[in-house]
Order: sequence, then structure tokens, then C-alpha cells
Amino acid sequence: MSYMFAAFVVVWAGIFLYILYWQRQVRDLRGELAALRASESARADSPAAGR
Amino acid sequence: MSPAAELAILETEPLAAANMVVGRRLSKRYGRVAALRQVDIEIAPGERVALLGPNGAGKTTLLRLLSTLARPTAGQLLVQGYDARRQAGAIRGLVSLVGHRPFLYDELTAAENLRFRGRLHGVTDLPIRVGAMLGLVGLAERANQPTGTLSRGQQQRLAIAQALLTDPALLLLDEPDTGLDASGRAVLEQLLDPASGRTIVFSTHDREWAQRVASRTITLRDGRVAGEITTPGARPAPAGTGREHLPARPPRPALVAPIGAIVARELLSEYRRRDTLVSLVVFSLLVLLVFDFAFDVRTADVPLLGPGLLWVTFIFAGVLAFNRSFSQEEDRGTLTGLLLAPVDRAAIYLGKLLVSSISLLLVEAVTTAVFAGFFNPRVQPLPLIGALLLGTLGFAAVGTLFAAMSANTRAREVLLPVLLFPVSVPVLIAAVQATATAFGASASAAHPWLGLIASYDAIFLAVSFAVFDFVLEE
Amino acid sequence: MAASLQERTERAPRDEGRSPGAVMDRLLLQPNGLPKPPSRLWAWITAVLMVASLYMIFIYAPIERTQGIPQKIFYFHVPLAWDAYLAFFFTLVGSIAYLKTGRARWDVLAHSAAEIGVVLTSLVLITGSIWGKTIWGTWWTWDARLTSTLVMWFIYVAYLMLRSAVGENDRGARYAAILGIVGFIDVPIVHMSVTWWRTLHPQPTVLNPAGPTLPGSMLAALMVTLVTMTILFFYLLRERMLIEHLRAEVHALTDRALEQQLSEVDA
Repeated sequence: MSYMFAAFVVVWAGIFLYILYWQRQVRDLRGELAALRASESARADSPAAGR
Repeated sequence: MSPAAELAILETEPLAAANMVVGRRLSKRYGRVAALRQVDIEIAPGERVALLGPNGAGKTTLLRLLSTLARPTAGQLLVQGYDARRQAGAIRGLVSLVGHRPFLYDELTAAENLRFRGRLHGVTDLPIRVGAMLGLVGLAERANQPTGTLSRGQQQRLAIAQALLTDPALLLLDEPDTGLDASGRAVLEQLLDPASGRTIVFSTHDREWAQRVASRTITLRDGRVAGEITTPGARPAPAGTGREHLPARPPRPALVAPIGAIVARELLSEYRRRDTLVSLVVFSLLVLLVFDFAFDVRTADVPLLGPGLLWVTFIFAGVLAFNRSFSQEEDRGTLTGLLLAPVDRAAIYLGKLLVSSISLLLVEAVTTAVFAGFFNPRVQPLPLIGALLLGTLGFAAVGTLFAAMSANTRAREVLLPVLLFPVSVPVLIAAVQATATAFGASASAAHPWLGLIASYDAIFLAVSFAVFDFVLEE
Repeated sequence: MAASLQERTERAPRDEGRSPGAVMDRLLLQPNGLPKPPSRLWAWITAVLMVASLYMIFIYAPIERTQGIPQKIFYFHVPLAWDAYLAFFFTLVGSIAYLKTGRARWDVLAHSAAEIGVVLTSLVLITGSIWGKTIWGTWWTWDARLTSTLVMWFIYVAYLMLRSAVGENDRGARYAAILGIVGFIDVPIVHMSVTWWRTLHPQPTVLNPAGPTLPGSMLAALMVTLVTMTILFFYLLRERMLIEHLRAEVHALTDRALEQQLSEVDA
């Protein structure tokens, strides 16, 4: 009985942790992306860059 | 514009294809680093083009693209009408490159190095041409001296002789003026003489010298063409179409002859250096000894433990041998020389496979003999020989493929066994079982196991043969 | 990834139509070439199916007579193993297509599938080990299927190690593709050799030539979990591939920023 529960916990926890891991990555990447886009549009707006 | 449309335009422009080099919007990236960005370049036959620019400007990358050592990430490159992506083998037969490091084998003599290159390229009248080239660069008296004992400048001159040996239509020189003494420089200037009619592209940091000897200079910066000057003082290049040498169909890269050349070169190197085989044998005997201490093997245990003990020793020795076969060439820069030759990539694979198998089989023979001397087992020779031959071949088939991959990675010593051991589990199991029947430990027959190894050998030889092209390409 | 970056920055024409690559792009990318956001719909479908399969396993399916409740591990163990094989099959397909076309999206497919496959195989090994403890009384036996699964796990761990050792460039992708092909061909050979060597595992129950020996209700529960796990796999695969596309997007933007700085210096 307890073995069965252990097995299920392992499966759920395993998949859950894996999803959690890449959810974090997605969040970081999206944050990075937003920052890059913002700085790019800032540069495009400033007159100094538009030579 | 779609790639197909781009291709159609190129095909309807015979004039452009008649040039020695036609590059359209060439880009090269190494990972995320852009080394070359959308470079357009055309070079007519007989031109002597100097590439100028600061370090990291893309000079070497451009030369590597022209020599087919690297493939363009984007854009199109034709050398004498051959496409650098699809007909790289044909281009290699027309081009010679003198790189930063001369790709010479230290333990071979100057003449032997040239002969090896000549055999890879299928040069005819080899002895005469070797003598002529050595004379041309002033190394005739050093012909039989090991290359390792030559000075830096002499090695550079030998590298130039090596490049000229194949009578290239296009000669590429990457900073040829570094490390040359006055007489070496004289050889170089003679080479760059416009009267020779040879098309030459070279990189240099010496702007004045370049403007004196080149017919045109191209300045690169940040992977782009920053400036182009047709040198006023230079005589015009002799007219030619560049199509003159072009055969109707691109020649097929050779397969069998280069295998012979590679194997002969490896055996000669091993004969001169005597470092691989001896150290492998000593290593294997030590592993045997260590196992004996670890398991306290008695003669009675040998049928049970012996086969596994022997094969563990062999796969350890095998990993060292495979690693060495590529890492040594990689470290000395000689792999570049093999890659520049117009040979089928499979010839390099098969040559290396043969050499590794031969040396591993020799190590196995010695180790097995010593093992028999230690423990006195009763052995049936036939299953044992079958297991050694087939097992070693299968192990080397995969090992050579993976060694070529791991040779230019970080932590290759660890990576190779990590790649190789799981994939070669079937060989290990079957070879141990077949060897066990030879020791009389197993009642079953050896031939199902030998059949299993033979199928493994056939499958992975075929697969490695098919994918090896992708390993060596850059 | 280098080449997808290339495709993106130069806005190379993406091939329209029904080619497998184009279909994959439509699944992952918006019309403007940017990666799609993660899919809530798929997540919900997966979650609902998960609840359904839990119902099937614990309430619908009867308790097996000899093994008792621990036999229920079977309903997850087998679909996980099936998923893992499916993942490595996708790695094979992606690897072959990458070597043939040189297109980064195939490498992304192979890489993502291999990573998921390693995670799933780890779960298969752990659940199998727990199940083995209950019915054989030992965590591990060197039985054929266990052993070959372990070897398979090692092969694909080596695949991931190879990728990290070469780095994120097209050489790494090519080497990985070679191992993706060699490894997949090797797995059945490993299995055969280990089977010859020794075997202890129960005979196949579903794909038995004489017809399934599993009682109908248990088979139904297994089928439901199998479908659930397959859907879960595709959900994981899509999300994992989106990460690679996001990464490529970040690289492209970083490079553009660098390029702009360079041209400002020039001017």
C-alpha cells in the first residue's frame, strides 16, 4: 500500500518538478525578452541613435 | 527572394561562374558569434588578393570558407563554378591552404610529409614533384630530416611546399609572412609573382607589403568588407577564364587509396614514436594485475571471472586508443590537413578504424597470452579468436565515430567512455559470453553470440559510414 | 539556437504549406515568427484527463487478486515507459530530419524530446523499482527489461552530456543528432542481447499474439492512462520546444542590440 503511494508521489512530484523547472525558465526568458524589447524601442526613439 | 530564385539567377549568369571565386552574401556564425556578415566577393583568375583588417575581422574565416574547412551559414559560394555546399570535395582538389599552424607530422621527414600529402591528393610523378617542391623552397638538403627538428621558418616553407605540391588553381595563405626569415620572405615573394598566373588570396597585417605584392586589397572589419583598393602599381592579372581546368563533371573523392595512405602514415608514425602501442600494452597488463588483487583470482575461478576480466581490460584500453587516434591529430592541427584533402570522409573514418583495430588487437593478443601464462586456463582457440576479432571491430566501429566527435569537446577523456560504454553493451555481453564458451565455462555454443556481434558490427559500420560526413564538417 | 536565430534575423521565407516542418512551425510560432504563448487549453485537457485516469485506476479498475493494491503502479509505469519510447522516437525523427535539412527546428524537436525522455525514463526506473520491491521483494533485479531500460537511460543521459559539452552551436546539434540515431538503433540490440543473457520479467500482456490476457476493465483503465500520458507528453514537448524558441528570440534581440552598438561606434 505505502509502496503504491510512494510510486504515485514519485510520478506526480517528478512531472510537477520538471514542469516547475521550465516554467521558471519561461518566466526568466520572457522577462529578459521584455527588457530587451524595451531597451530596443528606447534606443529607436532617442534622436542620438537615428543617425 | 527565395533560395530557389537566387539559385536560378546564379545559373543564368555564366560570367559570374567563370570567375575563380564568387561569393554572394556570405555569412558565417560560430554559435552566436557572427564571424562574417553578408560578404560579397568576386575574384578573377590570376588575381592576387590581400585580406587586411584587425584581428577578429573575419580574414581567417573567409579563408576557411574558401578552403571548404567551414561551410557558410548563409549565402552562396562558388569556387571555379563548384558549389561549396554540395561539391566541396571537388573544390578541395583545386585549393591549397597554408594556415596559421603548418599541418605537418613532426616525426616524419620533410619528404615523407610531402609524399603523404601527395598520396592523399593522388598526385602523379610523386617523387619528382616532391624533389622539385623541396628545391623550390630551399629545403632540398633537409629532405630526410624529421620535421620536428626544423626551425619555425623552415616549417613554414615546408608548409608552402606542401600547398604547392598539388598544383592548386587557388592558393590560400593565412598570414604567410609571420615567422619567416629573409630567405623565406624571398620564397614567398617569388610565389606571389604575377607571372606565375596563379590565383592567390592571402591575409596579412602588413599593409605596405600587401599593397606592393597584391593586385587588390580587401579590408575587413567586424565581418564586413570595409574597403577595397585595386593596387595602382600592380600589373594587371593575366587574362584567363578560370574554366580551363574545369572537368565536365566534378571528380569523385577517392576512397580506397587514401585509406592506404592514412594507415601507412599512422604505422610509420607509430614506428618512429613508439609511444601508443607500448603504453597501451603496459596499461592493459596493469589493469589485469589490479583486477587480480581486487578479486583474488585463483586458477579455479578463471573460467568464471576470466572472460569478463579480459574484456573490461580491453574496453579500457580501447577507450584510450580511440581517444588518441583523433585527439592527437586534433592537438597537432594535422586533422585540418586531412580535412583539406579531396578524399571521401569515410576514408578518414575507415583508416582510423583500421589503425585502432590493429593496435587494439595487438594489445589484446599480448594481454591474453600473459593472462594464459598467469592462470593456465584450458582454452578453445577458435571461439576466442572469433570473439576478439568481431568484438574489437564492433567496439572500434562505434568508438572511432564517438572519438571523432569527442576529440574537439571539453572533457573529452570523460565524454568518450560515457558515450561509448552504454552503446557498446551488446558487444560487451556477447563477447564475454563467447569468450566464456572458449574457456569452457558455458555449456552453450559460441556461434549465436558471435552472430550477434557480427550483426552489431554490420549495423554500426553502415550507420557510422553514413553519418561520418557530419562529424568532420564545420 | 544558431540557425533558427539565422532564420529569424534574416526573416528568411518560411516554407508555407503542408510539409512537416511548416506544420510544426504553425503549432509553435505566431504568423509573425515569434513564439506562441504557453497553451492553457492543452494544460486543462491534460489535467481533466489526469482526473479521469485517476478515477479509472482507483475506482473503476478492480483490485488485482495476487498483487493487491500495489499492482496499480502498473497503470502509470507502463504508460510512462510508452511515453519514454515515444520521446526517443521523436528524437530519432528530429535527428534524421536535422541532418538532412540542417534546419534548427528539427534539432529543437530532438533535443526537447530527449530531455523529456530522460525525465520519463527516470520515473519509469523509479516506479518500476518500487513495484519490484512489492512483488519481488527487491529494489532491483538484473532482469532483461530493467537492464535494457537502464542502458537506454544512460545512452540518453550521454546525449544530454554531449550537448552540454559541445555547446549551443550547430556542431553540437550535429553530434547530438548522430547519437540520437545511433542510440535509437542500439536500444533494441541491447534489449535482445540482455534478453538472451537472462530474463525474469513477465511476458508481454497487451501485445500478446493470442490476444490481451488482461481483464477488460483493467485494460480499459490502462488505455485511458495511456491516452492521458500521451497527451501529457505532447503538452510537455510543445512547452519544452517553446523554451528553445524563446531562447533563440532572446539571442536574436541581444545580437541586434550588440550590432546597433557596433554601428554607433562606427558612425
